[in-house]
Amino acid sequence: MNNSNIDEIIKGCKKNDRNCQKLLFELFSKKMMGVCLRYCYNYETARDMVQDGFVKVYTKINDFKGDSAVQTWMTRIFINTCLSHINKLENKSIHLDINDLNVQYTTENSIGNEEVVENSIKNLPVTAVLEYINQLPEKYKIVLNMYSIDGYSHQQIAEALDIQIGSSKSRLSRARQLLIDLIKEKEN
Amino acid sequence: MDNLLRDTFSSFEGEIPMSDWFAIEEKLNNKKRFAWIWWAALPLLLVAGLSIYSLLIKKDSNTFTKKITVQKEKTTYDLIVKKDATNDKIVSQSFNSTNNIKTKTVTSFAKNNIYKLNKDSKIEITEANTAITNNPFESIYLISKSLGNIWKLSLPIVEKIKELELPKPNNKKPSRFSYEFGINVSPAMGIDAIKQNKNNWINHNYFSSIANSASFGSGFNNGVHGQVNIGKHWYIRQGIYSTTYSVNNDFNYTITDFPNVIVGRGITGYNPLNPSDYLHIQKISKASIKYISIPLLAGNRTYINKKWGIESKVGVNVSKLWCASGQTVNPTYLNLEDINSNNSIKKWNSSLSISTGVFIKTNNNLIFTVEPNFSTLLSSARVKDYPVKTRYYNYGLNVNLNYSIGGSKK
Repeated sequence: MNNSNIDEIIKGCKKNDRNCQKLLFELFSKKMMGVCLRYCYNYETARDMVQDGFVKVYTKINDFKGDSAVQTWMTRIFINTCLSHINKLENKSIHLDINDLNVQYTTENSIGNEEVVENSIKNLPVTAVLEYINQLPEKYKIVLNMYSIDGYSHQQIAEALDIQIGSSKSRLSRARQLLIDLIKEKEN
Repeated sequence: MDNLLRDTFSSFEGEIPMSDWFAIEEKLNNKKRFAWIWWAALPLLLVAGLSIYSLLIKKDSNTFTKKITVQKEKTTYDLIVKKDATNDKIVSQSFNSTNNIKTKTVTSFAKNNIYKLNKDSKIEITEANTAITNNPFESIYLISKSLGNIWKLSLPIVEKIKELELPKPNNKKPSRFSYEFGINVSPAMGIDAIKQNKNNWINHNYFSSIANSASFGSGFNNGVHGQVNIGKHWYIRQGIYSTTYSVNNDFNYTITDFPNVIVGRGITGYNPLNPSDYLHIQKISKASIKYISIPLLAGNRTYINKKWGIESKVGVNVSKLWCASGQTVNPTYLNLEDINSNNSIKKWNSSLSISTGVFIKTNNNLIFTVEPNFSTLLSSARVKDYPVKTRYYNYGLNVNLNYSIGGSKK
């Protein structure tokens, strides 16, 4: 599908045209499901986030001025939807205190050969890498997703999560170490 | 590692069933379905907002500013004593707590150009008088009922020197009612809307054709009324009005469907018309119906500030036919007939009116209101069982001038 077609679909969505909304869903739903799967711990929650995210996209489509690619704009909306959901869960204290989960990880072997790990990642299927990322404590997983995969800056992460820039940096560093440890442990 | 992860997930997609689209569609429909609630809530929010605003103003008007600011550099010194401070007195004699205080009222001081009480009850003390030339504030006292104390003004210090013995409060509750009378003039545009009789005595296609032949006219309403205000905001109004509906008929119609009247239910003795005689008809006429009305209205005034606000009212008029003249088109018989032929106009009718607009209250107890108004006869003007009914609508402007004649507001 070329850009002019997408522009037509966006125009239709701005007019609340249900067919165009459906086309937009068909075009981007799998991609956005991929985004939500990275931020959520299970498939069902990710599906819910995709539904909520698309409702937000249709509601806010008039704010989309075309300054960026529509996929980039939508990805931000879906990430924000996932973050709001996670934030709500944290407020309700449904999750365990994520610091408690740290005990199962050690950093003793983290100064290993990163190249070995990188080669492992290259050879692993993406779903396996996702599984490793999903084993990270939530606060590390979110920062790793936002910085390493979605290209947020530390400043943007700090604003989105309401944390210090330094915390964002340290969480990223910790996330990387934990991911390397996990992969090395499994591969050995 | 970041680049590696980014590359790994750049084309990552997740499977999602198409049924999720229907869930999204349902959510969108629900949003749309309940969007009207927000629109419906707007007038309520407006009224609530205005009410809260007016309450705040009311509260503010009863709150006295107890801060007295005196600045030596100024030649005018303001003692801000708001509403209900008219009983406050300024005394110029030396104060001795053992003696009675000899007081002079504000007005007597005003003669000497020392003091004046301006309209919004702000007491201005102006330093410029031969009577008190040296150290003019040394022996000036403000006995303020609203401030509840006796204050000594002695530049640059303002100090409280004695609690004021206030007179016993008057326990008699002020009346909640006040009264107004006024006149009303309401010019209006009117239409003579025709409706199919609910018993379907005439074929629908024909009725649909003539339904758009509604005539254009005007209305005029004027009279006098009395009003009882209950509290500050609500009132009931009753009066006697003259209401006129004038209608210009221009029945210009090319026959495509012919009236097919069901004889024997609403109409007897109807002879079917010959279509070839009525291929095109044009009937022009004027008619006027005049009623004497007794309106009973309930209204609300919401104050935006002390002077003006929003006025809304709704009510019914019981109307007695005064006279009807002129001709009108009978769409069943396709002819002109006297509007009042065979006493066809109802002797009694009732109408509904709704209006909302702005009012302005002047200092001399006059209240002037301008408000768009909608009114309609609640039933057909015709008494006959015509297959086609006639009902009058008016869209106009109410102009009211009321005079407050007493009660609590006075």
